[in-house]
Amino acid sequence: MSLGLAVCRTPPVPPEAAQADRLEHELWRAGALIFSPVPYADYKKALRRAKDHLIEVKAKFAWFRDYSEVQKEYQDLVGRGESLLQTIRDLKKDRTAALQTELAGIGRRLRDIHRATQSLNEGRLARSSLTRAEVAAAQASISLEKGEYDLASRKIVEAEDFLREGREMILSLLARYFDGAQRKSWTKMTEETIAESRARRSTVLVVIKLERELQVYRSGKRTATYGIGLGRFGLSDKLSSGDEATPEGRYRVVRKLGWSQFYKALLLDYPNAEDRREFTRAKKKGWLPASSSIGGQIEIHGGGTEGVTRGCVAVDDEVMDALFKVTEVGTAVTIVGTMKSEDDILAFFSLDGSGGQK
Amino acid sequence: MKKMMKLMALAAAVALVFSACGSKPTQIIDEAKAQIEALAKDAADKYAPEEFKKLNDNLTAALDEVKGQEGKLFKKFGKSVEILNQVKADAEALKAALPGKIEAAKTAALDLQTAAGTAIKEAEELLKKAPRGKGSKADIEAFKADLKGLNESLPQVQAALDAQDYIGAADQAKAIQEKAMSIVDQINQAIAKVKGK
Repeated sequence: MSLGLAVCRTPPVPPEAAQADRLEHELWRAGALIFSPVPYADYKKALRRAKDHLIEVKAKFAWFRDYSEVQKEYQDLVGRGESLLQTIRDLKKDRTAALQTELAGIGRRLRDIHRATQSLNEGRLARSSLTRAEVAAAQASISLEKGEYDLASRKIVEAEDFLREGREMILSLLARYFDGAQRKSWTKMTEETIAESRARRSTVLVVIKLERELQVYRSGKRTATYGIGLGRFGLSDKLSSGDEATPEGRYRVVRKLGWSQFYKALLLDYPNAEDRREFTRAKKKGWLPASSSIGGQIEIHGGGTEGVTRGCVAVDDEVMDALFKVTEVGTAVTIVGTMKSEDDILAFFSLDGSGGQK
Repeated sequence: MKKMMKLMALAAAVALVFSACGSKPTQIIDEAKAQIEALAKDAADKYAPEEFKKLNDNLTAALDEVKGQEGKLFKKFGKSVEILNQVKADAEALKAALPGKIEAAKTAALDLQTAAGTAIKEAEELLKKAPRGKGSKADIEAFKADLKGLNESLPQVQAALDAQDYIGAADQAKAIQEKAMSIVDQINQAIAKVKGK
């Protein structure tokens, strides 16, 4: 009886068949089409073959059906599928980590360049590019969370492009500061001013625009350093009225103003002879309109360093008090761009890729 | 002779029964395939990926079943037809649901586009009201540049919407909105700083 039943009973389809189907779905969901398209296509082909074999066996009369070969084929397939699934998961993990690292790098550089835009008044021009870089990076993060790796990669490239644009804009602002001859001239002016202080045992002021510093020297020795604010285009050398640039050169205090719109002020003898020569030359060459004037009223004044001047040098009111005590009419004031080397400038603004670690 | 005639009639009836039950359901297969192809054209793989994948898998299962029966002496396509009918019904249901899903994605993208625009406007209005003076001039100019960048990003959302990439448009708009809101916060902080002086 039992022998009869055993003979008549239809052998069950190997459970690995359904398992291989489920694995195929899992592979698809895991992103096999993106991460392992060729092995996934191979898996599907092998699954197709196994299904065909299964169909062939199922087509036989029950007592001729032998699933052992097909079962073995499916077992191999399940093994391959599981291994492929693990590979895909590892690949996804690696790709996620790589993209997250890239995004973190973009975030760091964005912060660095952003800091530079805050230090340089002209830096605001770069900020629209930085904002677009931020938007692209944020979109990359959203795509990454959803597992849309290709879109995340594309957005990272977009963010990099905008970041580069912003960085180049900042570097173009600093181009004049990278010029060795210009730096040499600024260094010479500063050294001569300090030498004068030493020789005459006098107080002199040195304003360094890039570092936003005002240094006080007495008898050739630095006695104080203060922070300053500059004009809207403070990094440029003043050429004419209304350019909102801060002049560079050797000046003298011509008046001490105890009452000023901005607390107190030290009026400088801008324009000096050199400034007049430059202005005339620029006008002759047509760089300036015929109606332009050279301007004046350049001061060191109070009101705070956070403001934007129209070419003056601004300090905090208490600094102004201190300067008032140590200066007199005739005190030398030298305004220069910087004395830092190109590498030091880049490091100063964290544009050298050090992330401000130097 | 009579007996012979009876046997022939029986054989003919059996053949008729087998041929009726055993004909490959070609028409229904073609219809199911056409429905799935039409869904693919309507971006079902993008807006209903799971349902679309299930449909494809079920169609494959039905075709496997057909193939299995083709190899048999006594063909029974009943189960294949059953699966195929289910595929067709599911495809029909997805076809009906798909415009709703796409519309929902579009609405979400449009809402986020509006929200992004509103957030930028809010920041711009706030900036107009910010106290002006030497102390805030640099900040105001910096924020203006930030907002310029956001305004320049907005057309990308519209471009994605025009290309019917509603998911991409929504992500882009969300990123813009979040940045605009962060600028609003920064402006408020800057205003508080100036007022606190």
